[in-house]
Amino acid sequence: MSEKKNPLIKFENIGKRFGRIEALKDISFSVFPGEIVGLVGDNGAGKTTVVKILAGIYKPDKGKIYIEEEEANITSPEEARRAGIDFVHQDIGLAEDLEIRRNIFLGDEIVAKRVGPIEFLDLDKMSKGTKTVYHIIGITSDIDPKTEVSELSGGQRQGIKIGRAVYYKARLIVLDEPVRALSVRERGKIKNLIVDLNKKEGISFIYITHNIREVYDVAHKFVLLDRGIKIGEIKKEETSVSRLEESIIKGELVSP
Amino acid sequence: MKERGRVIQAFEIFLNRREAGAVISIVFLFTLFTLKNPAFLSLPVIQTILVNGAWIGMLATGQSYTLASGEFDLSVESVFGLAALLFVVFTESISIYASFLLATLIAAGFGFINGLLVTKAEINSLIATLGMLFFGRGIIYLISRGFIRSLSTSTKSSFLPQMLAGAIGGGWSALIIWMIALAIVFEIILFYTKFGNHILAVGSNAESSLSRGISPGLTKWKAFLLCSTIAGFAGMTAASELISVSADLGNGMALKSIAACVIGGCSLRGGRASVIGAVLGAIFLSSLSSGLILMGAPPYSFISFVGLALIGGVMLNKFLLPFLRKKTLPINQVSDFKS
Ligand SMILES: Nc1ncnc2c1ncn2[C@@H]1O[C@H](COP(=O)(O)OP(=O)(O)OP(=O)(O)O)[C@@H](O)[C@H]1O
Ligand SMILES: [Mg+2]
Repeated sequence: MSEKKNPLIKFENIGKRFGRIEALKDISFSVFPGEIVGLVGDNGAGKTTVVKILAGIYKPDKGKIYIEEEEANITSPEEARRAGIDFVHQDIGLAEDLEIRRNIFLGDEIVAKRVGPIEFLDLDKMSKGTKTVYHIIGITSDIDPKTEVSELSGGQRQGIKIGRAVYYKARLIVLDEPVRALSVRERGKIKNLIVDLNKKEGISFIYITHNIREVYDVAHKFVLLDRGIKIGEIKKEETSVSRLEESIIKGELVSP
Repeated sequence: MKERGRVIQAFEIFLNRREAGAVISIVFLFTLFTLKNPAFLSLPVIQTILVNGAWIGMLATGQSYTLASGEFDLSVESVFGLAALLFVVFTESISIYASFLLATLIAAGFGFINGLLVTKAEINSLIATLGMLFFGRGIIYLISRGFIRSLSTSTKSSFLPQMLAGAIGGGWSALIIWMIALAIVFEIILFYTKFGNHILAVGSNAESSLSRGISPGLTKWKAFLLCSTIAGFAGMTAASELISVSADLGNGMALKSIAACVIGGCSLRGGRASVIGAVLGAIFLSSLSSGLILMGAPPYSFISFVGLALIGGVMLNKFLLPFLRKKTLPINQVSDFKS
């Protein structure tokens, strides 16, 4: 994580208001290639707003986003995806009644042939692609790609979403409370998966949570938010979990 | 894995299909009625059942798309009646093909408006399409003034009406062919094309679909358009079959088409559907009425049985089938991630 590299993504003075609420005030931070950034703050701190601005769902009132030094003008999650940025939320991203393979390729289905306006699916290729995703996330036993997502556990669903992002060559994956609804065991597995993908594939992550302890062992750097204000940014080697906790409680960065 | 007999395996595959409930219901009814009266199990009776079920079957084909996308379309019965009436009325002044085309366009226009109301004005589809149901029926009365309108003798024997509803020999009607053809084509489109995948995805989880770049509004709109167009087509087969179109043609069919879909394994929440199942549901309802008539049940009591059959069919899908599936199938192996 040498900072000599150019940042993969850079937020510069981002501001956003919702009526009287100032959800984000002059937020700046960068994510470098291969970096895992923990974006931490209490409820209503503005974490999800940052994500939605990056995804092009909200337009910031002020500020700029740069992708590899170039000013980006993202207007939809698809556009972000094309720029190599994917999003994993707690409970959206999958159509639960559909098979896994139809979910992996949702919106980007593999077409076998076209007859006029009708595009026939290549379900075999979609099954094969699904197995590739299994391989990426290290699913040990073989789940039939025809299995409905509703039959999967919460952890498996999160794993599928992360694997799908990697399959589509994401360079940065933004995780918004990715393990909130998971069992302790599954939390560990998802966190291991994130660390693994970061090490092996060099993928960057923004890991959003309100619980510093959840992200402490995973992230390289922490950006702390409090009611729309960035109270600090600090590398893991320069702090400790208790100091970070204190900072969040006090609303200002506690230095060593 | 322990060895399983072929028959048991086939049975398992069958049980896992959404149509299983409708098939079991039909077999159950046929067994019951045939035990009461062996004449029930005969080709002419079956042909009658299919012809009588054809319109609900066609409406259910379109309805299964709106349901799959997470909506309802109650207006189908008025679109059915209106397209039938307009087809007849138009032939009095323009060519039969132009009449067909124009009536189809007007039917599609209803779908367009339904879609507009539901996806743009964000009016609940139950309310929006109920509104269009009343509106459409009113237009029918306005045009017909309550009188029956009939195809002229020369028109009714021309090619198109024969195509839509003529006899094709051996007691088979073109209506049956249309019902089956539409069911197969739209089943394939729903499950083997990109468009179908989007319909199901949007019905299952609109927000997730949107996050993958699929527009829920546009997709639902297409479902409404399709549903109304099929309803209009069905109406014109009705005009061709009946020759005379009354102002109340289609009344009560919307809820029956939804009942057929539900019996056939479509979910009212969206995301799960079967076109073949929906059509089988329609055939089930038609078998029920034919059976009751054969058994001499009072004619107007039929609708009570539809009600009971609907509840029974849903209970079958909801309780009995999952129970049977659990009995015969191994629970899906829950697998883990490597740690
Ligand atoms: N669309 C919106 N309209 C109005 N206010 C909004 C909107 N989105 C967010 N807010 C407000 O902006 C502030 C920041 O919200 P945000 O969802 O970004 O917080 P968060 O850090 O993600 O919180 P949580 O931990 O609860 O998810 C909150 O006060 C919230 O009420
Ligand atoms: Mg949030």
